[in-house]
Amino acid sequence: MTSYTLILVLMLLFSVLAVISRNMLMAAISLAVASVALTLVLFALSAPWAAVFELSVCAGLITVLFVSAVSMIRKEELFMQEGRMRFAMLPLWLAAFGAGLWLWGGRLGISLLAIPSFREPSGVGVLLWGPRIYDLMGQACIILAGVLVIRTFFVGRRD
Amino acid sequence: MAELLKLNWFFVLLLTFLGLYCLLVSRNLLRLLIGVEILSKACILALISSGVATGKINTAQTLAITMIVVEVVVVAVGLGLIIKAYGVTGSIDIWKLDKLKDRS
Repeated sequence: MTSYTLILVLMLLFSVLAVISRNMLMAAISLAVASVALTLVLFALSAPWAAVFELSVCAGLITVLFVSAVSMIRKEELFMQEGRMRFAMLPLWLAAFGAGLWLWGGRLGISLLAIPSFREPSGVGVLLWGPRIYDLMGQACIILAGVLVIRTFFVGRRD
Repeated sequence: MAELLKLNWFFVLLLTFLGLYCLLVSRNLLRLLIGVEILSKACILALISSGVATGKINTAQTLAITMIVVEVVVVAVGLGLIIKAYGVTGSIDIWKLDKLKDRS
């Protein structure tokens, strides 16, 4: 339990670093490390499929996309001045919010929602290709839409 | 089990606060996208921890996979938009995206 909490704290710390870091490359890499920490959390919660997707897509692909975008933008733009005081105040606000939540949540009894019981098939693949096949269709449509949008952005001029 | 759920949701709410704060405060377009990423990480953690608490981990995993696919498409399209806006305005400051305002 202690190491589990430690991983969660690590994820939060690297997320804060991704927000307050001035260097955008550092921010992208911090976000990748936070994704790796989330992967460990998902493995600990016995959700290996979601963990594998998180590791390969969020920690891998999205970091590559961010780094390639950062490399296209001039350095002066990346280090733009934007109310640094607000970002410096962020850890304080976060700590205040967390302390308030901890104090308030201790008095709040959490009860699980009553979810209608259905027999869940064992195995993600059976579920994904069986009852949730429409999710897969939706994912395919979203990916197709994304590809079309990117193609529309970077289409060459034909005169 | 209730302790685990409480711990997970504590961190979910902290991550949500962090992402919303980043979206509210930042002027850098890339940093806004990082805020969206942090929000979606909180969403994935909430889904999986709820699945663990209710004993329906497989359904939660399929929903998390869908969420991850949506997230990567959002990031790809968002970065494409940012690069296009940078090409037009020469800046990634969100305050410089007010060209339409000057037209009268």
